[in-house]
This record gives sequence, structure tokens and C-alpha cells, in this order.
Amino acid sequence: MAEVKLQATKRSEVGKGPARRARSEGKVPGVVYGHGMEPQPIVVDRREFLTALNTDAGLNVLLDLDLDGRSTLALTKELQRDPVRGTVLHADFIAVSRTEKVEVEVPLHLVGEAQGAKEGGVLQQPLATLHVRCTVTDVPESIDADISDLAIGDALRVEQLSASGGYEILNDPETVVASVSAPISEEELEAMEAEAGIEGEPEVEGEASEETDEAEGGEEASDADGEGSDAEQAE
Amino acid sequence: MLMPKKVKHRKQMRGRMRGQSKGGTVVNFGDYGLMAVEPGWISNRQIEAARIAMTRHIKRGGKVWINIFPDKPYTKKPAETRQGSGKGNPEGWVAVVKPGRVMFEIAGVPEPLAREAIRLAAHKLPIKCKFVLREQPLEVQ
Repeated sequence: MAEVKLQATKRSEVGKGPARRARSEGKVPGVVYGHGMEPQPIVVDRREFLTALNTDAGLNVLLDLDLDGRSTLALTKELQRDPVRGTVLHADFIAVSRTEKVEVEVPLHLVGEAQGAKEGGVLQQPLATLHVRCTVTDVPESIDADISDLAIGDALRVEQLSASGGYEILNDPETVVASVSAPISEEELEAMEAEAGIEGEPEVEGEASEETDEAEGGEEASDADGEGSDAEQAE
Repeated sequence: MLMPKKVKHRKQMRGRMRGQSKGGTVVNFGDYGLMAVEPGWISNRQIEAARIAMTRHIKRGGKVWINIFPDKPYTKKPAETRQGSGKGNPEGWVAVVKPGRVMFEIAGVPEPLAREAIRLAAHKLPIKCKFVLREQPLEVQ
């Protein structure tokens, strides 16, 4: 797996103020922990960090953190991103060793065109990543799943995937990776469009009957007021 | 039309919509999504109009998910009524949406078709929206 050197500096000030200042200076605040070390708040250069994450290994790139002259091997455990802009707000790094096994999320790619999709079926992929255990040097860039044999109504499950590399898939074997469902018929489509007009009043918990009485009374009262005010205006 | 089956109270206070969405900010079920960029109230009629626009455009292929639910009642006073005399009558249902919320998702269609379907749906909504992918790319600024 790709290994990238990344310069990091220790951060003494924590909290939103210093973190915001660091972001405005083009840096990403983060923390490195794990492997028996005390959690250490750090800061990395945003451009360098994002360049490191833009390799084929993606988020699972092995980082050689140069922390004030001391080298630490780490993986990106979690990224906090701005929900709208997508910018990186904070990064969690977990210290690892080359011999130890780690659990990572690996992207799952569907290969081939499903037979059912050619016949008009709808291909769905409920699972986009696989939870995998392996040594840090054996982390696959992605795992391919061949879906060319999937007909309409078929589903590909985790147990059908071949774990050929030095990794072990930890997801539930019964979990559906991809499925091809039948397309909706013209009648169903029309029914879905027609259901728009249905409306009603929801039930109110507790004293429902009393409340409806009150509501009716209230409406009458407001109507009466309205008429009265109109009459006054006319005069 | 989407609305709750049972409610605890018929009327609610309006509330504030400050900050960004705390959850539902990533595309979970489909391949593409429609994300809110502004805060706002989305009524059940608008949700329905957006859903119909999408399903009509993608025709029989693909699948659409609605990730928001209009569980907040809004009230309105009758026309030409003087102020006072209490809160108005319930008029409809809205979903409170804050920036970053993925409101609709689509799967099983090619990207250009999904983009167009989502553009049509966005025109049915009262807020600015944007098209998002399941994996938002990390851009080196």
C-alpha cells in the first residue's frame, strides 16, 4: 500500500478558537492516538494532507507522520467535513505498527454490467464499503464484486465475495452488496403519481374528541367576530 | 401526501433554523442526492411535487428515496381577520431543513439522467439546493 510522508506539528492550544485560527491559516487540526500513546493534538498542512489522501489508496493511505522530528506510522481514522462545502475540518489519526492487524473500511466497486439491468431491471448497491481486517501493508485499495450474472430478482451477498488478498471481511455474510429489482410497471407509476391528492387530519393523542369540539367552537367564534368587524367597517 | 398519523399537539411554535444540519448529510441509500444549501420549511406538497418530477423523468428505471418527513404543523389565520384571538388553524405540514441535509436520493440511473431529474426536483423546492454524489471528492484547494 502507498506510504506518504506528512509533516505534522504538535498543538498546545485546543478548542474552537485555536482550531478556527489554524483552519484560516490553511491547516487542518487533528489528533493522533492509539498504540499505547497518549492522545496528542496536532496540526497538518491542508494542501499536503489532501494531496496525501488523493492517491489510489484513498483514505486508507499509510501516513508516516513526522511529528516534530519523531516518525509515527498512522492511518486516517476519521475525517470531519463541512456538510455543505465538503472541506476538511478535523482529522483523527490512529498510530499503527507494520505487524499489527487493523480494521479499515475499503471501497467496494461493482464490476461488469448486470444481466438483469440489461433487461430493464434496477441495479441497487446498498453497501458501498466493506469492513476489513488486515495488516496495514495488506490493505487493498478497493474490492471488486462481479455482478455480470445478476438477473432480475437476484442479490449478491457478502459471503459470495472472494477475499483473495491477505484480508478478512468482517461484514455479516448475509448482507446484500448489490441487487437487481424489477422495474416498476406503468400502472404502479400512475398509482404513485395519483396518490398525491390524499389528505386528512392526523389523530391527536389524548383528548381528541374534546379538542375537536373546541376547534369547532373556536372557528364559529372567529367567524362571528369576523362578521361583526365587517359590519362595523361598513357603518 | 406525507403527514404524521398521530400527533401529540395540533399546533407547534415556529422555532429557529440556525446552523447546519446535524445528521443526514451524506448520501446513504442511492448513488446521487439533492442537498439543501439554505435553511427552510419544505411542505408535504413540495416534497410530493419534487418526487413526482423525479419519478416522471427517470420513468420506470431507478429508485427514489425521500429522506425528510413533514412532521411539523404550520398554522394560518383566515384572510381579513383582525390580529389576536389566538393562534390560527393548522394549514399543512412541513419538514424543517437546514444546510447540508440530503433530502432526496436516486439510484439505478446514469449520472446525466439523475442530474436532470434532481434539477427538476430542485425547482419544486423553496430553497437553494445542490447535486451531490455518494462519495464527495476531496478537493485540494
